Amino acid sequence: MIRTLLWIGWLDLRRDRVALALTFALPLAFFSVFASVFGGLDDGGGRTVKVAWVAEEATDVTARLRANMEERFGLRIAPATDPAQEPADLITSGTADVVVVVPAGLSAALTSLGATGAPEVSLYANDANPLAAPIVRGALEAALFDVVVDSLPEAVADRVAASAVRIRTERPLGGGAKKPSIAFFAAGIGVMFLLFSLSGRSSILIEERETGVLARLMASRLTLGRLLVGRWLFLVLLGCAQISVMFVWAAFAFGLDLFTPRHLAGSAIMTVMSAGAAAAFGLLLATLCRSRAQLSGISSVVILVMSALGGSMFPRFLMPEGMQQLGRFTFNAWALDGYQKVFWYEAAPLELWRECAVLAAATAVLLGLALVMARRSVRDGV
Amino acid sequence: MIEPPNGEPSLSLEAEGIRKSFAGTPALRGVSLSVRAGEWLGLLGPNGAGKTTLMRVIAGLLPADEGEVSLLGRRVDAVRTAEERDVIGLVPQELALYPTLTAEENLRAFARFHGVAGGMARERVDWALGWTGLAERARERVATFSGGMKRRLNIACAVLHGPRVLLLDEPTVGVDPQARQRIWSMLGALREEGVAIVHSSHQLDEVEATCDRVVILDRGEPRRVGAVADLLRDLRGSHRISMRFDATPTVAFGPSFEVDGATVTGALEDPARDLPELLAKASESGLSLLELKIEAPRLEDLFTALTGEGLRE
Repeated sequence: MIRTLLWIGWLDLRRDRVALALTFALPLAFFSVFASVFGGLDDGGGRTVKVAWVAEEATDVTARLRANMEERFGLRIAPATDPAQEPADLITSGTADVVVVVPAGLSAALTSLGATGAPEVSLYANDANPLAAPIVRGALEAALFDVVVDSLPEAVADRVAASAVRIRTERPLGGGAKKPSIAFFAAGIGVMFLLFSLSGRSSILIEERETGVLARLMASRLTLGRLLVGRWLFLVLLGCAQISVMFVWAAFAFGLDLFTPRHLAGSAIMTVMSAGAAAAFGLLLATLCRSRAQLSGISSVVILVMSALGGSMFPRFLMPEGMQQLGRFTFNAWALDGYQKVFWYEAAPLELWRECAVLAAATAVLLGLALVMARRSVRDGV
Repeated sequence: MIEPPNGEPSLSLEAEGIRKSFAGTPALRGVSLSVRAGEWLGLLGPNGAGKTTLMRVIAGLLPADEGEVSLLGRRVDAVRTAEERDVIGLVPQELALYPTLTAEENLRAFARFHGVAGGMARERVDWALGWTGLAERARERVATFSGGMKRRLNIACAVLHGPRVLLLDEPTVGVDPQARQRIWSMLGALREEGVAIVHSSHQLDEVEATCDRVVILDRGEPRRVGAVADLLRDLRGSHRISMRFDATPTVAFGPSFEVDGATVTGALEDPARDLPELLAKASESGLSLLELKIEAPRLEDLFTALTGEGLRE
């Protein structure tokens, strides 16, 4: 009988092209937009800062300075087409986030090691992009240091270079992930759409109730428990397919590092657990609501709030502490923590036990509640 | 499938003293009924009378607060075994079908839900498609069907497993006369096979034409139970008489008659006995009869007499 329920669910979905597109194409489109917008963060984010270069002198030193900033920090630096243009105009016109004004005499000052005085380089920044000024300032200071070192006699330069304090960045939690922000958005958007699509498909319970099919089913050999399990199983399979398509797309189109045994195993586990919980959540909503319109309205509000708190829209680690803790009451957070462990921290499948336990418990509780509500609904003749 | 106990004729369905309340409001107040194999029982009553609740209790969808239901002579509980469930076929008032599935797929699905699978399922689906006249449209989606086709399929989905008791809730709502005739002939064939039919309806003329007996429910209570003919016989004075003469009568025909110009209308308990006397009285007063109409008592008259004319919702 459960097989028959799966068969009905599949036929129903396959013949509803709009639902099929909404289930698979819409999440991909949504994810692609986010991945295209934020994917550059994985490469340091410098490419998103536009720098205008206003040089009051053009020398080999200033050219090296600019090239250093571009090569080492990936900044897009364009010389101002009209040197007379005010820096503020370059910013307000959207030409640049930061304007670097290189004063006359800078080259001489650098190569003479301060003998000719120290002219001031000016940075004009746009407050609307608060990250731009610190990035450009850091890049400029590093480039200035390199140029000064290059100006020293070779022996001295070597000693200075050798004595310079080096900063090394370590990633103790794995950190070998390629394209971590792609992984974040694939998981975050995937889980959010999982909730939307599965709660939407759960409306079949409401349709069955409204059309009398539920009464007919309950008069057959099918029990309410089996009906719910059958529906839940279909939603789980649908959810797994939806998330899998999302990750495969992320791998092929955006370079997500999916096809390693560890990533495949970990993401498969998290996908099944997340789909299980999302399916149970959808069924509970469907048993609580009296109409499809009610389900649509309530599920939209609940899912958007859960997704915002749970980190599907914005990384939880960037949220205030209180919000982060609040987010733990949503299963988006647990699902995303699991995916984060898989793709960012290279966690082995066994290390996902905590997330899996929480999601499994949520599934059991939500399914149990759905069964209670469905029984009440049948008993009350609703 | 549970088998009836030895001895014929058997009661296919028996409900005894069924009571059911929702949030303290009684919906059924001790309803009893029985249906024999091959019998067609009409269940009548205004909206809110308790017909659907009674059907749901009989089908095992709702537990009764009090009372017993027996199927094929055996008492069944609210929680029923698969065999007990198979005794009943339920046709809800709604079109309880999956619209995105074809007729054949709907039939296959509901057959499986009743435990009919494999070759038997194929056989029963083919039978149902022929029975409903839908064989040529078997592979078309139900959403594209007319109301009459959906109604026929709605019934077929309930009888694939060969139930001995068929519960029909308004099975012909919204269908044209041709489709209705087809449905009656389908159900008549089932009755011939010994299926007991409980038929809830507001279409009193249909019930009068098809049902062997009727139960009239009102406010959760059975107001009258019996064969249609017997009930109508009990409805005294319900033959409507209309006589048109060549002139306005001056003679009195009785307190139950009204005169409107040359037309006299009224009611007679037994026209065969009383009408000749009336006509003789008219003739004696010099009136010539131009037209005579006699309307036999109808179930609707009985229904209205028992349940009143006021709206219930």
